[in-house]
Amino acid sequence: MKNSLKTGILAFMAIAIAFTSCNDDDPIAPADNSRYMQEDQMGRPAINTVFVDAAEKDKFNTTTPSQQGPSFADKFQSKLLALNPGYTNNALGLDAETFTGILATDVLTVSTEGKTTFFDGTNVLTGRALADDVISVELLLIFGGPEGAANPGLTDDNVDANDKAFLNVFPYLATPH
Amino acid sequence: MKNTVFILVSALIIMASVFIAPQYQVAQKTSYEHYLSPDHLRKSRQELASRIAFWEQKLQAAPGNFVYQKKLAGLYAAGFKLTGDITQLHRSDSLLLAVNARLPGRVGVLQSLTANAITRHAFREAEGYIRKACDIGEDRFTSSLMLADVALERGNLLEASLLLDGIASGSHFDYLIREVKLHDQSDELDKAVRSMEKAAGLARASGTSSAINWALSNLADMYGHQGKVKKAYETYLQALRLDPADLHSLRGIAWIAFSHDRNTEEAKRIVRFLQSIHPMPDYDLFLAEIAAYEQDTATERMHKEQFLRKASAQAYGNMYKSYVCQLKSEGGEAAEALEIAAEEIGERPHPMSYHLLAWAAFRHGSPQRALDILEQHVIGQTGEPEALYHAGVILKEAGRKEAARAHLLAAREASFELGPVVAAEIQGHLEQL
Amino acid sequence: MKKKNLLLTALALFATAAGIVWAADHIDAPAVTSTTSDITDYYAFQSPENPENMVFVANLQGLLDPAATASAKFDEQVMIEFNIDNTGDAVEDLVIQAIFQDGKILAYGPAVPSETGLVSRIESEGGAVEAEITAYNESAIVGSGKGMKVFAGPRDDPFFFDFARYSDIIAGNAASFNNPGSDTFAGTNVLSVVIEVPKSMLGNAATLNTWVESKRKI
Repeated sequence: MKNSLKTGILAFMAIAIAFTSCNDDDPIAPADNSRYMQEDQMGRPAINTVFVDAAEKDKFNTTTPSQQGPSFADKFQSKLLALNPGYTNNALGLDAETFTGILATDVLTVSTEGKTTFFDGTNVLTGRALADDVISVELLLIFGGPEGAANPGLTDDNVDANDKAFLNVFPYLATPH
Repeated sequence: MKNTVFILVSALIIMASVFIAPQYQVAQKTSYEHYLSPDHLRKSRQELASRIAFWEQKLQAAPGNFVYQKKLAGLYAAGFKLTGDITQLHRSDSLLLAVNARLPGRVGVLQSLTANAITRHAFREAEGYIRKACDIGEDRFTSSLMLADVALERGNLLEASLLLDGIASGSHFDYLIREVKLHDQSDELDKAVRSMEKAAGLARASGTSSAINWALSNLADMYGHQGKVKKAYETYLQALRLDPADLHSLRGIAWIAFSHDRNTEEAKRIVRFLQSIHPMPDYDLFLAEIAAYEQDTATERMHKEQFLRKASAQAYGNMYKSYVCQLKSEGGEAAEALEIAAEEIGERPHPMSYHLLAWAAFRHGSPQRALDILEQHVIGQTGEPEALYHAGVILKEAGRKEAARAHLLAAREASFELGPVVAAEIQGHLEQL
Repeated sequence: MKKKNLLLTALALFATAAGIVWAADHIDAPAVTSTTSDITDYYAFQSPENPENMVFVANLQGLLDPAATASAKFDEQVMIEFNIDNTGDAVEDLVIQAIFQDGKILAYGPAVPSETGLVSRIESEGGAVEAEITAYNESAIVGSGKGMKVFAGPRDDPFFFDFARYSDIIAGNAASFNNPGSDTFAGTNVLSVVIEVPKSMLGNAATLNTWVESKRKI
């Protein structure tokens, strides 16, 4: 009989051992020498969502930032002009090529010497703080034209703040709902 | 005359097996009794209901918000699995279709539509959605996995194999469980088990308890297919410890109580419990099988009729077609079975669907046609025990003794999986060869 | 005659009993698990508590409702890696790596990576700063060491955006945003990793290029 008690128990013990040894492979410290392979990445908020075509998203997420510019700048420019065919310059004085050339390398620049904010009227792209209305900044730069006055229905999503107040102390993010 | 002898021999074998108790009982009430309580499922359902209420409320405040619609679609699909209420699956589909109409080409939505269509056994529809998702290109990994799912269901082993080769990754649970299916369908059960053990190990390493539970309950099924009943049982219990509302594992334990232990009272008690909390048609088929074993014809017929009535409901669409087809073949409605099998082949041109057609033809009095279908589409193309068994019977009647014996012997290897009634029939056929 | 009847009964019995093969169906594949590596958002800012420190935030597994938050878990096979370029070439010069084990977050670095790009090893030489992963409804557990602070656990999603309306505009279903808009992410949670480090550990550059990656153990 195939399913005799003895083989059943032996086999069960074998799998118990297999599972135990699996846990033993993951000691808490020191960390093992395993390798980790990239699956996702992010620099500036929503850039991937807005500028990367569905067909390219997998590739964008696994292209190192230093390679993103050469691979994606042209595509970002076409996308910008598709979103806003009337684009000439934006409020930062950047033409389409310059603007998308900067965006295509998807890193968040952070100042180590002063205020860190996405945009506060004075400082531009010196970091990203929790309360920054990053989407409205990006919409303004994409749709607002040189004076920020073009396409008024598209330059602000009219959601200006988070639904919960942030903390003054670490970890700063609000407690969950 | 030959038939009569067969029937008598089979009847004797069944009767003998009723009275000869198995060497030992695997399923021990004390270890699973705790799970035969509606409380576990009630808790899961309450949690799901609260989640649905949360997103419904958000959707009400922001009508047409596709993010909330998609969330709800996922929860209603889970709700169908948890409650057996098919209308929840339809609610899920209609939400996804609404999103897909307004915001076409969202890969996540197409993937969800695919998953629902697979649940409904609407494989052509599923293929349409997932091919679109593959063409769009985002999240190619998941889309390829799902296209492989559809290819496997539709009997296209080569396409599935190529798709999986293209994204092979031993570090992804989602990939490994497709590798399991591929091995299983290639009739390499041992390899399939090894892949599933690896998937279970990976789920443990990830700490994702729902994935560990899923892997273990499926692994337990596969140990059963290997005939390792004790190991299957222990693995079902492990799965239940992780998710006490895991009905699949409880059903597995009921099958052990029936098919291995021949403890029909206990098997019936578990199945009736499942039926009471999870109103799916499946359980009637199980109870019919137990009644057949107990030679309680009236009860058997009653459960089969109930199954047919429930499973034929429009709402289930294609979900139970293969069982309905088998029942009609046996129940003297072979002509109707032939039609259903042909439909099933359209949806799923898999050797298993052709085997249904062959069996219906056989029962319809066309043994030559049955043989032709077998030779063209089934023999050598699937190792599923029920196909081996039916093929064995058809071959035997065609006088192809050697081939019949080979098929029936192979089917007999899976006696636990096929259950005692079919196992006795196989034995009866073998003794006539 | 009697005998024949008996046989007929047996035949009828088997006509219904024969061949119905009922075995547990393979259940459908579960929903994908690979989304545990999806990064929903990334923040980097000067510490509100201490201007000498920098804070990095990575959020994962977005759109968690309260009940889902209680059971959401960090994937122990996934590493979150903050990348810091202090030479202006968009190649990481330093990394801060977080992994999750047995209910804890372990944060390594900032360290010079032995390998840059898509594949990483844990840079464990300097040891890890650990913290218990904060459970839902538990007050934040903060781990500290080497002048760093570490947190991992569920938080309110700090992101706000009328994403649904934006999507309708892009799809041509709407011409402009609503006023007021509707924050798609209101009321929902994420799993957050928050790490605060002394700026002095990040090099001397006035401006850093930073980004976050998720990587799966292979």
